[in-house]
Amino acid sequence: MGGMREPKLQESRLSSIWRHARLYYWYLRANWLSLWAYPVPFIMMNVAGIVYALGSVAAVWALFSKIHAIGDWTLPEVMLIYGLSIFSRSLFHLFWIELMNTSAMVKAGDIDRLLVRPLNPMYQLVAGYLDNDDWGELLTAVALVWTSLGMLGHRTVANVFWCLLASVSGSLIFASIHAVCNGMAFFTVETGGFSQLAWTTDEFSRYPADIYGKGVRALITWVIPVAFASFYPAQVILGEGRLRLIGLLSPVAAILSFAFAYWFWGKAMDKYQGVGN
Amino acid sequence: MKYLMYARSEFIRGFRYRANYWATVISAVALAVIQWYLWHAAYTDKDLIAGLSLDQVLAYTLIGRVAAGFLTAPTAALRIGSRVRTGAIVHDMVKPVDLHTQLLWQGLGRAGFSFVATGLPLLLAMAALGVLEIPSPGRLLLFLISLLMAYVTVFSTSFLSGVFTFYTKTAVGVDYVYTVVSLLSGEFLPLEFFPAWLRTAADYLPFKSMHYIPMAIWSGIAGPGEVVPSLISQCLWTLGMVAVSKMAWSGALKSLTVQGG
Amino acid sequence: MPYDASPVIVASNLSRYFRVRLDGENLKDRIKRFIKPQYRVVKALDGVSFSISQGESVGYIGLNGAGKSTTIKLLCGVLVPTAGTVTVNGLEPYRHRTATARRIGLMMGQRTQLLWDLPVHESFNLLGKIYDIKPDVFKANVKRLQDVLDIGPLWHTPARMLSLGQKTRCDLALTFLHDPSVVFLDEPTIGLDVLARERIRDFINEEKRRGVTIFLASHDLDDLEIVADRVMLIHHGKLLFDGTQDQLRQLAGGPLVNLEETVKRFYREAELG
Repeated sequence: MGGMREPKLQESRLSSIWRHARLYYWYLRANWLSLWAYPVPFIMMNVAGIVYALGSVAAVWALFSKIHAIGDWTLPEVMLIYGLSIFSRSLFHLFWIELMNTSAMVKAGDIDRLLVRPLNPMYQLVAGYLDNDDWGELLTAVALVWTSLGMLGHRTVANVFWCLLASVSGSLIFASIHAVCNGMAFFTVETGGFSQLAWTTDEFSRYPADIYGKGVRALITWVIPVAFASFYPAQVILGEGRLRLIGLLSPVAAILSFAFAYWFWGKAMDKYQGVGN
Repeated sequence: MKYLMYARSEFIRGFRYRANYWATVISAVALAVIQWYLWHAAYTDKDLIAGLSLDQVLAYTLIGRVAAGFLTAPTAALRIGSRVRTGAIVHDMVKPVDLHTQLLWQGLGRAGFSFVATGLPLLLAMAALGVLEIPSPGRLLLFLISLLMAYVTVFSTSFLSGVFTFYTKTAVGVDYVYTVVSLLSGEFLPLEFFPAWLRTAADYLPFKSMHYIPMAIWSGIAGPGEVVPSLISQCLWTLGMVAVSKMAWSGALKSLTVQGG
Repeated sequence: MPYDASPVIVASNLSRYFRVRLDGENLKDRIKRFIKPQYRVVKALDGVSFSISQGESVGYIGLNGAGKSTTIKLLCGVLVPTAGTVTVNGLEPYRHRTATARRIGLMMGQRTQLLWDLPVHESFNLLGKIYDIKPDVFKANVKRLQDVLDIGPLWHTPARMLSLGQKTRCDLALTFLHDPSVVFLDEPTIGLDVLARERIRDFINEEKRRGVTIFLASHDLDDLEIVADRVMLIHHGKLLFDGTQDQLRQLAGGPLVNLEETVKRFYREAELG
């Protein structure tokens, strides 16, 4: 058998991660080439995305033009929090959207294919498809964050970098929530409701977290940590003392929540495979 | 009646998915909670915003959450264009039923399940907690009539968008454009919050029949003198949208049979 | 054909049960079961034992729902057995999923691995990267598969524009690209015309000669007649027969020429008990 290599039974974790990271380029490439196979729909899709983003901005604008403040927060402060929230959300949408397809893949039996390849199944799922139609929302988010930083007089290089980091970490929080909700597909066939629930939770991150009661606030900090996607990171710029410190810990919160979600998704997949019957 | 059977079977189908149901309920509750806190925070130091009181806005948005499941755009209608493109439409065309009517009733069955299983419990819970006040029987009846018409408009708009994708040859973007329709319908905010030009646009478009009118009737935003005129205009828009979507559909079918797909 | 003495696949008492939720007949039942669900256990595979040596080619036959796909999923590490054990290349597939994955190939009929919107070669490139195939090996394998399956001319065609036969040939090539030692083929010729089927059988026979272990599940008994040295017959999750084609014909009670008649007869007798 020419060219057959003896498989390594144990690959070190580091080399496995490196292998997955290198492969991501090839997956991205295949995805982009696929999208450009239909240039007209691809462009239309993004134009529609901009229309959508303008629609959502119009809603925010309509709201803020009448309200001026929410709770103790002034308009630019609310805008910064809202901007960080949709910044995180659009990054999630651009790079993690295929998590939503778990249920359909289970129904069609396509999960089986992921399991007979020498790669991590969740990685294959997420890297396997991008729709790339959310650049409009990303643009809106950048505009909101940039403008609000300017209005607040806080538009420094450090703050801009912090907002970028916070949004990447925020997108990881959304990915965690969607991974858990869509991971339910391994237990129950129909998961439309769970997927919707995941999208609902991100609405909690759009407004200052302290407008909610104690219970809700604890919930969005400790259980479904969406407050770490927008409100707490914004405190690094707006707040002081303890609140600012919590804000600085947002990336840690993101990593922890993703670790949990990843563990849960794996457990759910075990269930699908029938581990421990 | 065969169309009623379609509605019934879709209604019953809802009972299939148990865990999914609870997720839907939690979603609905979460969205209601967000609205409640958001508006309380917005009204901290004001009595009126855009001419509306806190109670009015809360009633409008909370009953909006109750009705949301009932007024969700039916996926089958939005995807009608792809059914044509993939050829699956052949199965529909050999059946002795009108597809527009069939989907309307199927969607109603599904919406009915959503209302009974999710909307109604949420409504009763909020009423019991004193968060949401139930209006007088007369207004309630007018609200229900208006809600039913809103469903028909939602359906027709989705169906029309679906037919539109048959011409554009791609379904992408429909969901996004639909979001703008939702904005103009008043789903996110009462139309009073819009700047004047957008309010004018919304007033002259059919979309406010999809959400604003029933919620304004429930919440009292529509004053006693406005209820009947808005119901009449809603009725006209509803009939108009049904007619337009049906016409667009038969046009699409004709071009399909002429060009042979 | 001389087989390697060491068994490459060993299944012992392999079982897999599924729990299926019951639907109500009418609205009342549905609401009742919505509140308190009821389940039924389906024994998709029930105590099956066999051993397959390197280089053997096995035809796996059974009616719809007999447990064919379940078996393949258990052997590939997609599913975990409810009871019993299975090893492939000496490893339990689900425990050593990635190590197993590098050495097996799986083709599911009518479920393509091709990147739908891209030219065929892109699928090969990506899979080459996924399996970490060395460039020179990749080149050589592509060349060989292109020649044997005649897919060279399709190399720059987008997958969505291929005919079913062309797609199947490309999928077969993708399955063998990383030099798997065991290949599972689930209905590889489904929906194909006679000529396309013949081509695929020739290819499988060729791979057999190269020493690849072939596990072929198919409805098309003609495939098995030509390709399989050994036949396993599964019915309601149990192994009814395991032996050569001649043995099967004899057991079924006569020197019938046609394998299809033999198998039908076997099922009838099994139903009668």
